[in-house]
Amino acid sequence: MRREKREERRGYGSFSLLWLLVLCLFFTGCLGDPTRELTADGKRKIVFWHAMPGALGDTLTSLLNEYNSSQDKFHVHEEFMGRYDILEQKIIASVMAGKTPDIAQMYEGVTMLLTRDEGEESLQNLSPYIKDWDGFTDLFEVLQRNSTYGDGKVYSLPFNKSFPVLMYNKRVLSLVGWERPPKSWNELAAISALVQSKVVFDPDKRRPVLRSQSGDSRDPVGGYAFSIDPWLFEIMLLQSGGAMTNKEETKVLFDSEVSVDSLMWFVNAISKGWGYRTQGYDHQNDFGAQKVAFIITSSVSQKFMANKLNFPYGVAAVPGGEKRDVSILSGTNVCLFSGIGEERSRGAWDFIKWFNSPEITARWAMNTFYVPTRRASLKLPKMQKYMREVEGGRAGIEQLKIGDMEPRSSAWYRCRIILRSAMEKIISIVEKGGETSKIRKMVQENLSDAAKRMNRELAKYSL
Amino acid sequence: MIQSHAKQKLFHKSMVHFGLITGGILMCFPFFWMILTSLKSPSEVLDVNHWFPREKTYLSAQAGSDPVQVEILEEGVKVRVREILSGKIHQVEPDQIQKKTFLWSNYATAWNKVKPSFSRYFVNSAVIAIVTTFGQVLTSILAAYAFVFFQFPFRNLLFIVFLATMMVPQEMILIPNYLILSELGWIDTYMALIIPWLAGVFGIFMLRQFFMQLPMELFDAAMIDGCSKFGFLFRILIPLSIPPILTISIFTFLGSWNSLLWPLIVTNSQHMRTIQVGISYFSQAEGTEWELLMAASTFCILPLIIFYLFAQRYFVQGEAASGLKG
Repeated sequence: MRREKREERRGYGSFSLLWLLVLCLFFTGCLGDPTRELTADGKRKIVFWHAMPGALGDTLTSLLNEYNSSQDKFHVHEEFMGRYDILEQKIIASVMAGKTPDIAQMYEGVTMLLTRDEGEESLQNLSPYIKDWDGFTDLFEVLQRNSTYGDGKVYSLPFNKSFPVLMYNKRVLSLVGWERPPKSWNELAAISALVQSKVVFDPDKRRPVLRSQSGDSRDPVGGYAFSIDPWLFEIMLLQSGGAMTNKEETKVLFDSEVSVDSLMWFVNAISKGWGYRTQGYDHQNDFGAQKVAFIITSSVSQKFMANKLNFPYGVAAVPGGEKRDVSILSGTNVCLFSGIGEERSRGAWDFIKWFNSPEITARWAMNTFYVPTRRASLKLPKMQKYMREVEGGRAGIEQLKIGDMEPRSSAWYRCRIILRSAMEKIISIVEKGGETSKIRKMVQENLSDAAKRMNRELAKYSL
Repeated sequence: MIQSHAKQKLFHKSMVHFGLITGGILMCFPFFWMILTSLKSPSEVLDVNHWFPREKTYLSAQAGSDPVQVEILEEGVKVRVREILSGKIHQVEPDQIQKKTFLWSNYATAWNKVKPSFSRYFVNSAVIAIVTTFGQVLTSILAAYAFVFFQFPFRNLLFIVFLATMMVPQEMILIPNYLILSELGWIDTYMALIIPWLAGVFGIFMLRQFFMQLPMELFDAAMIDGCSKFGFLFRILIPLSIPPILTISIFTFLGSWNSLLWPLIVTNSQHMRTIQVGISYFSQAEGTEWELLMAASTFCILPLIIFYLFAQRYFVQGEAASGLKG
């Protein structure tokens, strides 16, 4: 009997130990941070959520430190949220919980979602601030449009904006007799085909060389490598005179003939053998290993690739189109949350205005390969030197004047996923081979099917 | 006849060993590649024609900058070198030249690159993983014990409801869970990282299946002999269930150690973040710093490997007993 009681006591002891642990953690957690509102030196803390890790995050941190030491009222406190998709979920959750940060980096679709209910917008309309700031009209036109929503309300300012760029191996191009990058998609296709047929990689010399006349068993250097990304397809579509959606963004137009023509460029790359599809970053890796002559990637990728490229390379704007000279802007903006009080709003505005000043936006661009946001920044001597001397310094910036945007509907993220999977399906079918005469019809059918599904997504958000 | 039988046996044994060794090499290859990559320079990472790092020449670091990789053009009283990336040519003193093959410095760079520090992330991950594992094992034992050895109304229905919660993807309950934690004031605390994971249906399910294999008479006999219910649990049931308990411990520990989404959602400040957040620092939408990512991955999996080496015997037994594998 006594032993039984002792055992029961032991059981209860284990329970008590666990609950004691839980209570300790609870009280540790509830202690909170008494310095949340103010810094040790009495500055008002402005909480900024972003998703910029690595080298880009380091540049951001150094700029934030500079801002914080430049004045005595506010302190921008950065909180890193890992990835864009996680940041997006967290922003939505924090809005629902009523515990938002003061400012956050976000895509246009999230901005649309958080401002769709008139009178209950979770983000501040920045128009009253902009009235007293001459910087807004100095933003590049596409960036002004990108920040302006229905009824002319400005809900964001540009933060990290980029364009796709064409990276090319100068050595390979000179082997096939070219000294400049291609200016059109047809030219890119023609040079890629030439490279594919004439250039091989010599493992002993560790460089591309011309194929020998007799049977050469060395691996050929590819012409063009790509990962499936709707971004480039959309650019080609606009360049060919097509459109992604109707003006109201309630219906996609990817099932048009001009869409099929645009996608056929990628299909031809595979079927004619001058291009190949890769997964993830593999096209970047293949370019770094000199296995391919051309890739198209975000201008910012150069930041990660530059220290891996031990051969002469060039960076140019994406090739031009037949009907329109246009490229598509990518990247996020910064927004101010509502309900954060007047003083914090003032501090948050002060920071995002500072970040978009000509000097700071120029430095942000020069250190990251994002594009600067202000026209005035291009006149700065250091910016002119950067554009003149740094490889790729001009490639993104040149596209600012021809920049356009993807649709900003909150459903666009889902639409992009649908479009990407349709492209993947099409390319996979082409990779497996098949009757050439039926390929166009197959592309048409898949795009049409994707368009129907995208329209359903758009309809959900336009209710 | 006997000799031929022995030869046959030897042949079979050799084949089994050959299969196991091949499997072992295949399983170890990703780790081997990870370690090799962690010791390469950024440009070597992309050179798939050469598996092993080669000797590289560097120009000694100037204050505040990294060493620059160069190739030697001409040696003499002064050495003429060309920077590999920029192509710039310099005349330098011979003692400014360094030769390196394995870049162990990648480990130091990766370790020091994240803020506040990897050591803080290690401590956070260790505390969270250990407490979560302890809690989940305890709650799983108690729940499984009740489901198998006690009769109560709706027992099976309740168990099915428990199981059904396994079918709900984490992404679906992320925002509701965030709202609950926010209401409790637990965001950015250890509470948010630990309490929701103190009970897990997988552990309950696995232990219930194991307990069901034990004869009910064992429980009845213990009760007749005057053993209490807790006595049976602690003196008989748990000692008999060490392999599945260790299996649950390993699964829980691994799940907690590898968790990325949850810590990012429920914490804000860097000092509350975990090891996987540190690793994600080296990869983003526009590119990846492979050599640093691999270096960080190597030192982050070391504790798991050590933990596994200690518990592997029980882990294998647990798998065999439950029919489950990771």
